[in-house]
Amino acid sequence: MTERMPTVDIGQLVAEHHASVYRYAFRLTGAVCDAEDLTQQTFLAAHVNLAQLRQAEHARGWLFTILRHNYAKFRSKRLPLSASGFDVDLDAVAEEVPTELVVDPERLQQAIDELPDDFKIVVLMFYFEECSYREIAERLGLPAGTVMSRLARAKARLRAKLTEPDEIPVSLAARAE
Amino acid sequence: MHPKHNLSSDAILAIEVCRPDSDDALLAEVASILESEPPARVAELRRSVQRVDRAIMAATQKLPVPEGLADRILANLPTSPIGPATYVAVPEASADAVEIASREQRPGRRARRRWSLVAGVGLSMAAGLLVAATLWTSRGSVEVAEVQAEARTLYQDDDHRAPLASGEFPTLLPGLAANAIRGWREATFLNRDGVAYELSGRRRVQGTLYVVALRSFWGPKLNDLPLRPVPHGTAGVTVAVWADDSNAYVMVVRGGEHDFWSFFSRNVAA
Repeated sequence: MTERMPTVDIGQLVAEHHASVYRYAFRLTGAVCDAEDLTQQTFLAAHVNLAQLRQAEHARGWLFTILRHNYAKFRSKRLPLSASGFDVDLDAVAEEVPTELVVDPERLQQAIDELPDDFKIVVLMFYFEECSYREIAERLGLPAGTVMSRLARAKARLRAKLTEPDEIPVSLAARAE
Repeated sequence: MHPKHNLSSDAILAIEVCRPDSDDALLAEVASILESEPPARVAELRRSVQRVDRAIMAATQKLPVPEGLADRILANLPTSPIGPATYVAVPEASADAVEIASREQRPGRRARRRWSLVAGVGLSMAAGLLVAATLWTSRGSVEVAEVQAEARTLYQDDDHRAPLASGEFPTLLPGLAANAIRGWREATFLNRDGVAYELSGRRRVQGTLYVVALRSFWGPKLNDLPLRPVPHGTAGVTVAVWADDSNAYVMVVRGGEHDFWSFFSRNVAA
């Protein structure tokens, strides 16, 4: 049996995709060192399994899939963030949709970090990978309805965090009185 | 009916899940919900949701990348069995990558030769240290047989019938099909914390995948892909184990090796 030769070079893969893989890894982990580790692991697995990548145009999605698997492994080393305390009323989902939104990068990452993994993966596949809810459902093996519900709730939570008024330090608030 | 938007909850959900500037509203689940809603109100809410989505989409992609990351990634890759990595330092703008790569190829090769020499010496030293560390720590390590025995005991104690936690989790064993996971729960395995994923396959094949924080377990490496399990069957269950740097992965399938292979070949991608 002949071994399938890869059509994509690992160096080319790293050159073209290391930045987006790293950015995705950072959004998932919220820490530079963890994101670097995940990026490294992703390209290591890609290198070993390069023969599985048949078309260069699928490289980005393929790398993101490996990244998500590695992130799951990474999370398994820590206690998973339970989704039980995460509840957003579906009726409140579109309660406050701002007309304009200037996204504060720190606040965005904080809001992502606070999402349980089930919700974080779905919302990042939507915002970062730009997958449709149906593609997300197919890739995660979940019913479309589950993905739609998680996505809507997670988006609502992100929006709420991003539009929260700034906290006024206690000392300043006391002085103002 | 949502009081502010005069739309049903389902319509709001359907609008939320559509990507900006896409045809997602034509997907069956969404289209069937939105067809009975007032088009003007749908369009109004859709405009504002998508305006915010565009801003968040752009922000998630906007992030500085650590300097020299690509070089570090390549330096840490093993020598390829299919030929050397041909990457040379490329700035962030990937559109220019090919041109810059060809310009800088010679210095890149020299640097790689220097790196090979340094890496060779480093690897020899690391191998020596690894042998020493192996001898030092092997006393406290957990044996494969011990892990297999614990897995059998837990399974026979009906541990797999314990109630499952709510919420679904992503697949934790590379290649394991998500639809083979029936649910998960927290588990104690060899007095360590872990997570148990209840598995079910065709023909009522059932099993459990334990993922346990077990640094001192030296089973077959998980990163040796594709996974080639060495199942061990006895007492009505078959067990296969893997390890990575921090965890043990223990797959228990009810039945003999035939049942194990039947489950594995259908649910774990090679």
